[in-house]
Amino acid sequence: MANCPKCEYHLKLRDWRPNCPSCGVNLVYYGMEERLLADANKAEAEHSHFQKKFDRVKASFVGSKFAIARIIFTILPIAFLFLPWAKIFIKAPYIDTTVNVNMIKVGMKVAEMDFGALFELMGSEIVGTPFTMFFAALACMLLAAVVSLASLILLFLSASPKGIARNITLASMGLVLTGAATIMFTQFNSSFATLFPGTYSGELKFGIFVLMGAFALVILINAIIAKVGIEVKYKQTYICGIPSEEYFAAVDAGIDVLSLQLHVTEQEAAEAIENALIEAGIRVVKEPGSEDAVIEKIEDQPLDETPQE
Amino acid sequence: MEQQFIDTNRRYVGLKENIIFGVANGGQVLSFSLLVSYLTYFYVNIFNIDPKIVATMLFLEGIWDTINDPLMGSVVDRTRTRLGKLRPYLLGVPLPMALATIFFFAGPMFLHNPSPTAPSKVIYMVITYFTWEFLYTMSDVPFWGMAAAISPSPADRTRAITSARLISGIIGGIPTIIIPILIDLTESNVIGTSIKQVFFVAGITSGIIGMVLFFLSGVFVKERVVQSVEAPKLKGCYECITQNPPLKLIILQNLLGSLGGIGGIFATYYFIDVLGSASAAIVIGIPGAIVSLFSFAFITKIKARFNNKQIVIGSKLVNDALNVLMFLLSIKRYADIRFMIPVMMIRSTITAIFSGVNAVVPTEMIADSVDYMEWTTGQRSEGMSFSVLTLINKLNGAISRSVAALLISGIGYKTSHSDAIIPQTDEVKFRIFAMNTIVPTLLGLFSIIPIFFYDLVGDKQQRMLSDLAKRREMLAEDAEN
Repeated sequence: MANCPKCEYHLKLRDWRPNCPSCGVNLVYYGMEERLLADANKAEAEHSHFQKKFDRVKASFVGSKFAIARIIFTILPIAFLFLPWAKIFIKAPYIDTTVNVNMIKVGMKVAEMDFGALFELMGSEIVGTPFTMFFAALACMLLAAVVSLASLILLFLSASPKGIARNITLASMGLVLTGAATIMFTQFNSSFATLFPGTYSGELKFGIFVLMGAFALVILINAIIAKVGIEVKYKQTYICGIPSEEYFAAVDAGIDVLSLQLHVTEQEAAEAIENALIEAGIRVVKEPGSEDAVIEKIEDQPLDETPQE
Repeated sequence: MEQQFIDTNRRYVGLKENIIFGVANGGQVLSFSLLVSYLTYFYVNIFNIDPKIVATMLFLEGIWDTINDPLMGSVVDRTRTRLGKLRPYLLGVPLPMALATIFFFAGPMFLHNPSPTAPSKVIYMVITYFTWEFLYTMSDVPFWGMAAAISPSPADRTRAITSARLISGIIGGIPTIIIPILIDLTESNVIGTSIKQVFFVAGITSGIIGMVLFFLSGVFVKERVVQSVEAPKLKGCYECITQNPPLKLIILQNLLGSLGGIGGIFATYYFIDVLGSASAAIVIGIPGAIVSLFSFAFITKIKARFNNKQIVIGSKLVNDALNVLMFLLSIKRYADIRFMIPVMMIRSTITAIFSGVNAVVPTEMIADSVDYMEWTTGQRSEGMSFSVLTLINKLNGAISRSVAALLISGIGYKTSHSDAIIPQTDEVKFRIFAMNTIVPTLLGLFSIIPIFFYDLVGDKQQRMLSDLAKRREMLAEDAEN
């Protein structure tokens, strides 16, 4: 439970009224200036930390022409997932059907949770192995879809230290999964065609190769960005009217910033804080647009500077 | 006296507090959206109560709202505690509200009388629904009042309201996605539950999780705009409407906009009876839904160039122009789904650009009107102002639904007791199309007129904020001394 800020009376739960039962001060108004200034300093400090992260995210997306191109290239695999992956032809007495295997068909089956027939076929002694290959190929494609979505979502972290490595890893995973799906479908195809000659045939369609090309493009653009780099432009932030680096330097130096702000205007407070920094022998140097500032100690000048002959 | 510590250009609300405010609203909307989306279906189909009894209860509840909402507003405005006037409700309501939500959905689990008019079920329905509504009002009015009291800085309020609208839009959509999936899984026996169990568990989940999240607002969100030391008299609470021209204009704008709401009701008929596909609405809405999420990022840029009055008028005119254009382009092909889907998709995507700012600015304008009341009379009226607007929105919905119901038979729409969907004539189909597009657009145009007289922008607003800041500092000094 809180104490009265004026008389330190221990306020109980039943003390709901706005006035202190001991000294009668209005608890809502008393110390309002200090609380508001403390809230403002805290909020602006939080914003200062957040602004740096925001500037890095912004650079990840629009920091250069290559970053913008990276967005488009990262979306391409998701778009190309909807191209046709494979085609299956089944021709038998009373059965003449062609099945297009693509993201929409597979997605609908997943949504319906309709795997009963597939699991039964996977358990069969005759067709079990080919169908297991088929299921594995589909699983690889679905994982490739998940990976491509994850790539897009994690794009905002590209400017972090491991960002490029992560982007390249995810795109490589997508490429490997798509390649594995291609190989496994080919295996399924040839096994099934051997088991049911003349009845079954299947072929890979262009979509799967275009998808592999899209993943390769994502790897390429990230490699280019890793080489040329993207400059992050950091926006200058202010806390109680002074650059945030000076504010943090003042707080670290033990200067009571809040007391310097009480009962004065913001401009007067800013001047008081800067004077306090100088008195503490601290100078804050920051290049415009850079992330961090350099805190320097202002050395005392010797009394006699004339060099001795 | 020179203003010293209240600076309307400073930031007082941090990022964490903003996110908590949004998450709290999300929690509140979690149970609200579950209840409102499935209210009639739950009572009629799950609890098996006669629809006429349900309709009568809803009608009576609407009348009760006209008393309850302003009453709650005046109670909030007259509250004075050491925690402020709004926070006590944000701390005290979550527990009873969670229990009310659980009991709401528990009825079919305990009362098994098969009769649709069983007195036990009807009494249970009335008590639980009225209790839930009463508690919801008790949470909603102070929560939105907090949007005005969270900071003396208008930019802070914009950020808080943006956070609330964005996060609650995401969290509030969860029940509408999960419940249909669970219903389908139950119907196809994939999960071994009954539908009444699905709703009961949903009620427990949304009640507990929702109210835990809502409780965070009472703990972490602060009231930084302090109230007058003396609480206003009851008459003074109601004067916040009569002596507040900006608020009166906003109320009038909302009332005149109610007729424009018939478009939304006829949309269902348009998709089912004219285009022949109810799910086309989902497909059409997908790009707009994505754009509307990003639209919150444009708010700062839009507000840097335009004031609230210009935003409200401008976005309404753009929306109306798009509706008129769509009507004229589609006049010969309104029943061709292959033509209408892309046309409507483009229209809804463009209007979605303004959805963020349209979700935030009206609430901000009410907050500004609360400041205006304090400027002119010395009393703040968050409770009354937001409760009246909540009531007006409920009335709008009722007016739209009743006018639409009258118009349905007026345009020659045919119904059948054996089939939900029967073919309509081309003339009726065209009328449905017109009722979905051009008619509500033209009727809704009147709602802009009051806003032309709204003048709480620009220099007047800056002067008001500056005067209020100085006055609040003087009040703080007087109270301390």
